[in-house]
Amino acid sequence: MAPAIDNAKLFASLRPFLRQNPAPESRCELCGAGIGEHSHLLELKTRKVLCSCQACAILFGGHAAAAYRPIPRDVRALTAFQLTDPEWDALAIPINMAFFCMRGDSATPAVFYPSPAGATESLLPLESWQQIAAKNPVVREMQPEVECLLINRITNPHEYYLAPIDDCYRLVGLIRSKWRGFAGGKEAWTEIAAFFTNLKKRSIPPREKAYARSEFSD
Amino acid sequence: MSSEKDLNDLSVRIDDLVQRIEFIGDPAVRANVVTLVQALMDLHRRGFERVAEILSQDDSGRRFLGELAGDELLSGLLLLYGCHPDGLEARVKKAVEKLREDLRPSGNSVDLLDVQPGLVRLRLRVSGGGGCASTAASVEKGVKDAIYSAAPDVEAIEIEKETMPDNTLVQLQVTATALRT
Repeated sequence: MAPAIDNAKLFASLRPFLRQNPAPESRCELCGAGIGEHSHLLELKTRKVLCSCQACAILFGGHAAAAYRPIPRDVRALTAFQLTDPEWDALAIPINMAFFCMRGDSATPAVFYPSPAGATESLLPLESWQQIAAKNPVVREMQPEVECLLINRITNPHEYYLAPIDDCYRLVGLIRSKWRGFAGGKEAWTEIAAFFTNLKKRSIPPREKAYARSEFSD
Repeated sequence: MSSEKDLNDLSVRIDDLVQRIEFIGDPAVRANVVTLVQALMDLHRRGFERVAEILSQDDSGRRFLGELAGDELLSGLLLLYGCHPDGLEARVKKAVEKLREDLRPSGNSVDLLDVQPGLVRLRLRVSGGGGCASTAASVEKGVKDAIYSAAPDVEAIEIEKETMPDNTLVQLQVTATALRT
């Protein structure tokens, strides 16, 4: 009379797996938890941007030797940024748009500019950077690895931001996928304009610290 | 043909593995396991639903589905995936019918008193001549197992027990452990 298979046990063990809600759009790439609005971590070794829940962002990004760095959400509009045309030309960047990112222990940032081939790295002469930093002390607040100085000299007036690296990657990806021909094409430029409009909308004014000029120290 | 022991071992092993998920240390692995099981279950649920849907389109299909549901393994799977053709009452009644047949040789009998989604009530008449208390207990367990197998979605089973001859009526009420769905 004993049943061949314990249906009651199977039902009890497995039924709960069927009662789940449909999976939310995003999942934390570290722990698999469903996440709605979420933050990102930069995996330093691979430079990959990972979607992360709050808990993992704190657990994995919270300490100095972490393999992951939390990517900030804030965009800061650098309304007082100063960069003359000769200074810009001296950087020899072929497109009027670039982002600077402090990497590792380097004293000068890596410079990337979007191109149809993806992000292309450019060399930045040390003196050029020191000149920019001297005139614009706010760049010293740039968080290494995860925040970039984003320069947009295509529009007039020029725009300068401290932007999270995932936004910069998004711009690179946008250009790579939409760019057509030599000049880019209408769709690409429409998207680029939309990107910067969105960035400006999200941006907050920088917390400018007075460096050389002030009697206050950091 | 699957051997009965294999199937039973399988259900025990699955239950054990499910319990152990909780103790996986790495949260990423744990989440991965849960998500994978959910996805597999979802896939098979859709498959079973599709089978039930196709079979339910005509009389012969419905008859065939009924036959499939008469198989213990398939009945459990159809129930698990929510596509068993019979409702709770029908399944309990069929299980009680089968129990009556199985119990007849030993002089025991079972009656269905009431079926509700929350509670199934039965009267079990145990023949006093043949058995001792432990025999009666094992008969009772057999009855409960059979009902739970046919209706794992029932929440509780109450068995009124009567020992028959000697004109001595001993009534015991046993409430089975609720199996929550």
